[in-house]
Amino acid sequence: MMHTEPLSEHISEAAPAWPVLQLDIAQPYGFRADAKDPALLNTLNALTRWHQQRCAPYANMVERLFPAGAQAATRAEVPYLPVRLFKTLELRSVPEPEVIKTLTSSGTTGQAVSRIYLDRETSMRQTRVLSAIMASILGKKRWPMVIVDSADVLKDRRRFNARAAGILGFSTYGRDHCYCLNDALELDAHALQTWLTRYAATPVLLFGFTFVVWQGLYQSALRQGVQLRFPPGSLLIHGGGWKRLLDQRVSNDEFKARLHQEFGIERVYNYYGMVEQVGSIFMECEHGHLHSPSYADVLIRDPHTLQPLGVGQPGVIQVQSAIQLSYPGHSLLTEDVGTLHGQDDCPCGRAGSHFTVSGRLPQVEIRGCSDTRVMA
Amino acid sequence: MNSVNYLLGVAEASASLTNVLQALRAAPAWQPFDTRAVEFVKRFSQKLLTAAGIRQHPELAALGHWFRGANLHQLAQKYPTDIGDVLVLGRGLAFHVAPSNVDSVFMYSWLLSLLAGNVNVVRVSQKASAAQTFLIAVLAQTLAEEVGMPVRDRIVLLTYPHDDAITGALSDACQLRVVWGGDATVRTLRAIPLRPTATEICFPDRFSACAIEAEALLALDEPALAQLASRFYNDAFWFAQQACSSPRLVAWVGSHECIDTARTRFWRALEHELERRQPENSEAMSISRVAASFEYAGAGLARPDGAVGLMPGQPLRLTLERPLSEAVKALHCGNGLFLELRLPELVELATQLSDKEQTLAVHGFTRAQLQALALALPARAVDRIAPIGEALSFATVWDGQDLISVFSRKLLLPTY
Repeated sequence: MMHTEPLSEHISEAAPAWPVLQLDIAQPYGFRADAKDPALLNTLNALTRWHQQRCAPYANMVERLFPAGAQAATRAEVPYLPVRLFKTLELRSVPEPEVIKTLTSSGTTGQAVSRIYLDRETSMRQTRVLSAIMASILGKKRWPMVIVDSADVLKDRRRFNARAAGILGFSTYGRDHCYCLNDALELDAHALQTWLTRYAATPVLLFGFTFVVWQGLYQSALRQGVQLRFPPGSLLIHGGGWKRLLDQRVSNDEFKARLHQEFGIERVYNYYGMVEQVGSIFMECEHGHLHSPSYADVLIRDPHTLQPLGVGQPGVIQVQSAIQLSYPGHSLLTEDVGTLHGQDDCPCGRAGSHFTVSGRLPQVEIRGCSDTRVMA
Repeated sequence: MNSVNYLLGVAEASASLTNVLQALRAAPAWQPFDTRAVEFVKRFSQKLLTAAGIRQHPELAALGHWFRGANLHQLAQKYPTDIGDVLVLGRGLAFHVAPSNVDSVFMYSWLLSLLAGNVNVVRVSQKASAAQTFLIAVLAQTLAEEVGMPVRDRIVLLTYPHDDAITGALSDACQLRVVWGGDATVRTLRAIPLRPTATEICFPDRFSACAIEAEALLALDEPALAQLASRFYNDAFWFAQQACSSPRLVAWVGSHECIDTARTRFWRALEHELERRQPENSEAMSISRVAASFEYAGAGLARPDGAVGLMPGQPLRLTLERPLSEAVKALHCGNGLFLELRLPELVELATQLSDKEQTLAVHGFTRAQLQALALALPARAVDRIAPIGEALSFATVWDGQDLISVFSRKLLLPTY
C-alpha cells in the first residue's frame, strides 16, 4: 500500500498524461458539492478512458454494460465494477514489469482473495491522499505510535495482505512504533507499559484493525487483569470491518465507550476503506459519520435494481476514487450496506458527503446438484 | 482411522468399520423389486408423506410421492426378473456418496438401489441439516416397524470427515459405488481404487438448456403461452436455477423476425409468471447475476441486447456472442440468469453441445427434428430431451443410465 520511504513528488521521464487529482490535496474536506462534483466527475471520466485504453476486460465490460462509457454526465453514470471481480480476474492497466506491489484481501481461509496491482505512481497517489486525510486529524507532526498488532504480520513483504498493507501505510504517520501484541495476538502488557513510561504527557496514536483492537487489546487486557492508561489526547484509528464484532453484538458506540472507560482513549475514529481502494479512505468524525474526502465519494444503490438511492435509504455502497491508475478500481460496487446522511451538512463542519455502514450483504447460498428433486 | 459416525443401521457407536462391512457383505443380494424391499419403501414413503413437519420440506414430500406404492408396482412391471435364460439379481453391497449440499438427491438413487436388490451403505455430508435429520428419523421409525425387519441389516448410514483410508475400505468392500457431487468430488473418488469386480456410476456437474421453436411459440394463444411460461418457471426457478437440469441457456430456433416477436412474447409471459409466483430473489442473488454479467462481458462472451447496457433484474438476460463453450458454462451462477442464442435450425445446436450437457427442455419441435439433433450430437452430449416443465422430474433413467439395470446384474441360466 503506502510507501514507507519519504514522500517525494516523483515524476518519471516519459510520464504519460495520467488523469490528475484536480482539487487541492491538502484540503480533503474543504470543497463543497459545487466545486467538488464537477472536478471529481472529470477525473473519473478521464480514469474510465484511461483504463479502457489499457485493460481489455475492463474495456469489454464498459462497452457492453455502460453506454455512457467515459462520457458520464453524473457520478451515477460512471461505469462501476463489482468488487468481487478482483477475485476472479486479473485486472491490470499497466504492463506486468511496472507492478511494484500486489495487494491481496485478507479473506477467510479457502476463499478467493482479491488481487490488486500497484505501480509506482498509483502507490504514491495513495500515499499523498492518505497523508492529507491523516494530517487533517493529526497535524503535521508525527506522533508516538502503538500498532495494535504483531510485528509478525509484516514478514512477507512481497505480497501484502490487507492487514500488513494497512499497518505499513498508517505506520508512516507515527514514530517510535510499539507493536503491542505477540504472535498469538495477545497483549504484551509489559512491553506496552514500558513503552508508555516514555510518553506520560504526550498524546499517542494507536492504529489497528477493529477486531484485533477488540480481542487483542481490550479483551486481552481484561483477561490479564492489567491496568493501562493512555496519555490524555491519545487517539485510536481503526478499520477493517465490523463483521466479527457484530457477531459478538458489539456496536460502534459500545466499542468507543469501552475503550474510553478501560484505557482513557478519548478519541476513537473508525474508517471505511478496502484493499481495492487504498488511500482515499472514509474517516469517521466526532458525530459518528464517515466522510468522503475531496478525491473520493460514495453512492448508495438499490441492491436489486442498482438505481441510485437518496439520503436515508439503505443500500449497497459504491465507492469512487480519483486515485487508481494501475488497475480499474476508480468506481467499485461493494457488497457492503450503508446509508447516505447528507452532503456538506454534517454538524462536524466537514464538506462532502457523509454516511454510515451497517453491514455486509449476506452471501449467496450455493445449492448445486439438486437434480433428483421433483415438483410436489 | 475409525472416526466413522454411524447415523443409522449400526447400534454400537464404536463398532469397527471392518466388522460392519463384513456383516453387510454377508447379506445376500435380492432380486429387483423383492416384496420385502417394495413393502419397506412403500411404508417409508407413506410415513414420509404423513410425518409432522413434512410441509417444511417440499422436496422430501416429492420424494415420498415418487416412491408411492402405485408407482412402485408400475415400475416393477417394467423390470421382469426371470426371463428365459436370464435371472436378474442385485449386485451386492452398494456404497453411495451423497452430495454435501443437497439432502434428498441421493435418496432417489439409494432407494432405487435397495429396490434393485442391493445392500447399501451411504456416506452423507458431515454438515447435518434439518432435512437430513428429518429423513433419518423417518427411516429409523420405518425400520423399527415390522416391515423394517427384513431390511434392517441392509441399510447403514454413516458420515466421516474426508479420509481416503475410510473411503478406500468402503470402496474395497463394495460391488457398486455411486457418487453424487461436483466434478472435484468425482475426481477425488475416482482416484481411490474399487474392488476389481466392482462397478461405478458417477453424477458430476452438468449444464442444461432449453430450445424453443419461434413459430410454434407464436402460434400459442395467451392462455397456452401463460401455461408454457408457468412450466418454464418450474424448470428454471425451483432450486434457484441451480439443479443440474435447470435450463440456463435458451436457444431460439427460426427466422430472425419470428424470433424477435417470439422472444418478446415469451419473456413478457414469464414476467407475469414471476409476478404471480414471487420466487426467492435475495440481494445476494441479484448481485451474483450482476457479477456474472460483468464476467461474461469482460471475456467478450455475452452481452445485454441493444444499447441500453446492464439491466439488472430477475430474470437477467444476456445474448451469447460466441458459441457455447466450457468457459460460458463455468461462469454461470444460476439465480435467474439466462443466456440466449439464435439458430435457423435446431440441428445446428448440436455442435455447440458437449458431454457437459444433461437436459434439453424443448417446445415446438417434431420428433423427427429432435431425432435429427440427437443423431448429430457429439459423444455423450445430452442425456435427456424433455418437454418444457419436466426438466426436474426424476426418472429411473438418469444421466443416460437406467438405474435399476446398472444397479443389478444378469445371471445366465440354462433354459430347461
